[in-house]
Amino acid sequence: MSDLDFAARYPFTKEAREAIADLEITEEIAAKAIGILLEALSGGLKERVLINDIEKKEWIATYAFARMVLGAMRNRYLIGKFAVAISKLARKKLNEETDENIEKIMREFGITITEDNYIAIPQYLKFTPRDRHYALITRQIRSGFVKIKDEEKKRIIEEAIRKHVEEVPILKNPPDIVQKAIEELERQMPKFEERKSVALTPDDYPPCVSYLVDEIKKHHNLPHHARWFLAVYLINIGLSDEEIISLYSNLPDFSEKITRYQVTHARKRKYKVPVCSSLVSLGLCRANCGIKTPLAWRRKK
Amino acid sequence: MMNPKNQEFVRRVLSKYYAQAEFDIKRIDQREFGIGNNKKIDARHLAFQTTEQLRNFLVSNCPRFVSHSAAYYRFPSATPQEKKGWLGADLIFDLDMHSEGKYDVYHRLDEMRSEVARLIDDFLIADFGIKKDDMLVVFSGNRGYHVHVRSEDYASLGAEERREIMNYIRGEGLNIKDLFSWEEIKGKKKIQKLIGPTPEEGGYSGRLARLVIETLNKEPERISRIFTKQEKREEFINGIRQGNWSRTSLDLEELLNRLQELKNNLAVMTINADPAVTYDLSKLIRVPNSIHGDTGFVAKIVNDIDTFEPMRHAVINGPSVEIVFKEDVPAFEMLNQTFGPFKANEKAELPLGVALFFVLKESADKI
Repeated sequence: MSDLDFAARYPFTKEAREAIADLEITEEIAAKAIGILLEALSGGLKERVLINDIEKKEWIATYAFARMVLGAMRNRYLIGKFAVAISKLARKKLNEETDENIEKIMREFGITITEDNYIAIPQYLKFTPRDRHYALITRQIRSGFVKIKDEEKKRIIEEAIRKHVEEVPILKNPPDIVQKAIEELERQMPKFEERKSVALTPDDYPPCVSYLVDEIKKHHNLPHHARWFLAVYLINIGLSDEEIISLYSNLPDFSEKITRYQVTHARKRKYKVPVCSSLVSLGLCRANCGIKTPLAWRRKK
Repeated sequence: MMNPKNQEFVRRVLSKYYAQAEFDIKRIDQREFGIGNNKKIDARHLAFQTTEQLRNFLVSNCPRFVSHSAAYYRFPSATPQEKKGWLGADLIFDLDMHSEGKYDVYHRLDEMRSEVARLIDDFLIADFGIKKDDMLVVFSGNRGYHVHVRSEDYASLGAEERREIMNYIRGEGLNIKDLFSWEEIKGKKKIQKLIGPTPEEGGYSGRLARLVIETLNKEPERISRIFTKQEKREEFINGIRQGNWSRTSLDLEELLNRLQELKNNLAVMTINADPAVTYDLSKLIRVPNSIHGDTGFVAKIVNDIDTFEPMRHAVINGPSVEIVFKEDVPAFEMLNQTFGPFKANEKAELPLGVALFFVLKESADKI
């Protein structure tokens, strides 16, 4: 396999960056990048058949441009979707990959796995999901290393790729071509307008809030800043502490004492609901609903 | 709230102490500091470029509590938290003793030492491969110990990953039976062979094998009375060394149930599992070698946990001071002497650190 082949299969590698160092970004690549972002948003990326060197380079450039767009937009939801799609695509390639190339990718992410399948604990913790199957307690451990199974190796690499793609460098003052792409992407992104016709009910929240409420009802854990935002929002629209605590009791790590302390604390401090642009940078924005603050969602009715 | 005379006394002691205190704060310019007088933390988001700057601040302000972030930041004094630019954080383990009364805990503090030693030797070094040089063991200044792990490898871990390490050390979800498997020996009668860990293995497996062998040798009846017979005991132990746990007439299922009871001796249960304490990435922790404002004890850096005695080594020195007790206080061992018991309204001239302790516990007033 040529170096360019490798780079096109894994467009997030150093080899890929080098391969397109002298390539100019064109309108065509920008359009393709919008395309793959929308594709990722709607559920995943198809495998591409890349026939010649030009197509391979274009694919790498499309990936790179898409990340620039994400770096300027800072929409965590879209970044997350894109990272999952790219890592899943890479995983398909990994399944038919040579040991040599797998080693090469592992080196790039600083992953080392010994011949008898032991991996350093900090790497293991970073690149495995936190569920019972991967709980440290169920594993063989020896001075800083943890035993993994053969088939888990590629899963770990996939996760390392996802995390890498997700860490998009912030792009301040994006060039015009990126700015234009963002506008185009926002035009094409699914909007949640149909919700506006729904009558005002206790469930009638903006997409960012209803997503969090749904997650809680599904007993999924939420990061601290998401819990904080949701509590502040609910306080501001007039819910009582008891109502909020009862909702939060669905969280898998719910502690009444801590929740009560935090909710009363938030109320006492009279926190303001963050504006939409802050929510975008916190990774809590879910849709381009055309308002400036989540509170406007209800005022609009 | 302390009376003005007590406040002045405490301030003077703290100021004098901080003028000569030795600090060991790695990357001090990247830490956020917090101070407190009425609460543990009244103000945070403070930053110091050097140890001397911190010292000058403490000498002139004399806060009763001073803590620094476990995290390293690009801009430690920036607010809100997101603007600080998180660069990583020490792993902090907080071992705390339960206290029932105001004074009962202090003469039991020695019990904690073996827990701390176990955390360090069995878990941090043996399992997590952390070097001794990357650890700082500190007496908390009150009811326990803090272990700071300042290893580059672990610094970038997020909250979820830190939680997983805590769960592991606390033995959450540990099922002894998971460490064993059954093997069938085909013969005239179907015999089941119990395959289990050997003492050489790492993690909980090896720890269990070693603990069982130790228990068999020291108090065999804890596992079964039949092991008080040397012959039976040795036969069983020799089997364990090869990973064969079947060399006994004991019912093997029953054996596993008894081993399950050893679970709490394998984990370190005294680690504080409160999420706000253990894996909050912006947590503040008492500055090592600072004074704890509820006791006047030094949150002393411990060089050798086996010989460290808080009631001797963490009490500050100084000339005797006269105090008057406001309530009855039980007899107390400090600095290798017994003080008290004291009755309300009784006056006493006591070594500085002892007097400071009773004043801060609000049991006595400075005269």
